[in-house]
Amino acid sequence: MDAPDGDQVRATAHVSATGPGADAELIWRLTADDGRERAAPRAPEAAATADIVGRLGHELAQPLAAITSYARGALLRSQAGTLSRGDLEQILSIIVAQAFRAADRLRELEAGTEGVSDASRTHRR
Amino acid sequence: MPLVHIVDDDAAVRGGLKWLFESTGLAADVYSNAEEFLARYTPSEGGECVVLDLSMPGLSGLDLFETFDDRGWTVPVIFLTGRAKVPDAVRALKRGAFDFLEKPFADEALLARVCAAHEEDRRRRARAEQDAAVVARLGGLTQREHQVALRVAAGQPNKVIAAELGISPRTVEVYRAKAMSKTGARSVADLVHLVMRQSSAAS
Repeated sequence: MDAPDGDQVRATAHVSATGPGADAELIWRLTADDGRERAAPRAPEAAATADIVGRLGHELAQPLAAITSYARGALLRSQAGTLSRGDLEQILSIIVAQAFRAADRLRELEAGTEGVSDASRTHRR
Repeated sequence: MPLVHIVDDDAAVRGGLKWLFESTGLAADVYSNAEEFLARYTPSEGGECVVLDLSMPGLSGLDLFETFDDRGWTVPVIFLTGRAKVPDAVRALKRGAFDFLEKPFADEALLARVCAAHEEDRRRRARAEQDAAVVARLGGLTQREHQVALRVAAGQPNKVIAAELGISPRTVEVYRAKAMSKTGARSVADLVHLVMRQSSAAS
C-alpha cells in the first residue's frame, strides 16, 4: 500500500484494538479517510512547492544543458586527442560561468520564495 | 558532412550544442531565434536535421515548425524544451517532429537521436529522388501509352483495355510494349511498382 508510514502504524493499531476478526476493508477505509483529512489542509502548501520545483527545474535546465554539452564535447575531443590546452581552458571557464549562473538562479528563487515559506509556517501553526 | 541546425534563444545552450556536435565530426550552424532561421535556412545537399528549442520569445519553436510544410521543408526536427509540456510534445509529434527531448538532456541520447535523424533525412532524400525518377519515366509516355500502362498495372486483360479505350487488342499490345520500353520496366510487376510509386509520390 502507498499509505505513509503514519497511516500504516495507525492501521496496525486498529487491527490490534479490534482483534483478528476485524474487517480489513473497513480498516483500510478508515485509514484512507484519515489520510485525506490530514492531507487537505496541506494542499496550498503542496501547490506552492510544486510551483517552486517547476520554476527551479526551468531555471536550472539551461545552464545544466550547456554544462553537459561543453563537458561531453571536451571529453570526446580529449579522447580523440584533438583538445588543445587553450580550448580546454576556455571550456572550463564557460562551465564555471554556467555553474555560477545556475547558483545565481537558485539564490534568486530562494529569495523569491521566502514569502511562501513564511506563509507555510503560518499555515502550520 | 552531416549538418545540424541549432535554434535556441539561450547563447550558452547554443554554444554548448555546437561544440558538442562538432566534437563528433558533425557540422553545426546556430540561430538565436525562429525568425533568424526563417531568414537564413536553405535546405542543404547533404544529410541534415534541426535541433529546435520549443519555447522562445517571439515565434516559438512549434510555430516555426508548423510553417515547414508550407515551405516544402522535410528536414527532421528534434525539439528541446526546458520544461516538459506534454500537450506541446503531442502536438509536435503529431505534426511529424522526429523526436522530443527535455532539458537537461542526456547528451548520448541527443547524439543518438541526431544520428538517427540524419539517417532519416538520407532515406527521405533517396525516396524523393526515386519518386522524381519514376515521375520522369512515366511522364515520358504519350497519353495513350499512359492510359494503357495504368490499366495493365491494374491487372486488366488486353481485351478489356481495348474495349474500354475503343482500340483493337493488337494496338493495346503495341502501346503496352512502348510503355514498357520507355519506362524501362522489365515486367508487368515492374510497371505496377512504377505506377504505385507515382501515385504515392503524387499524394
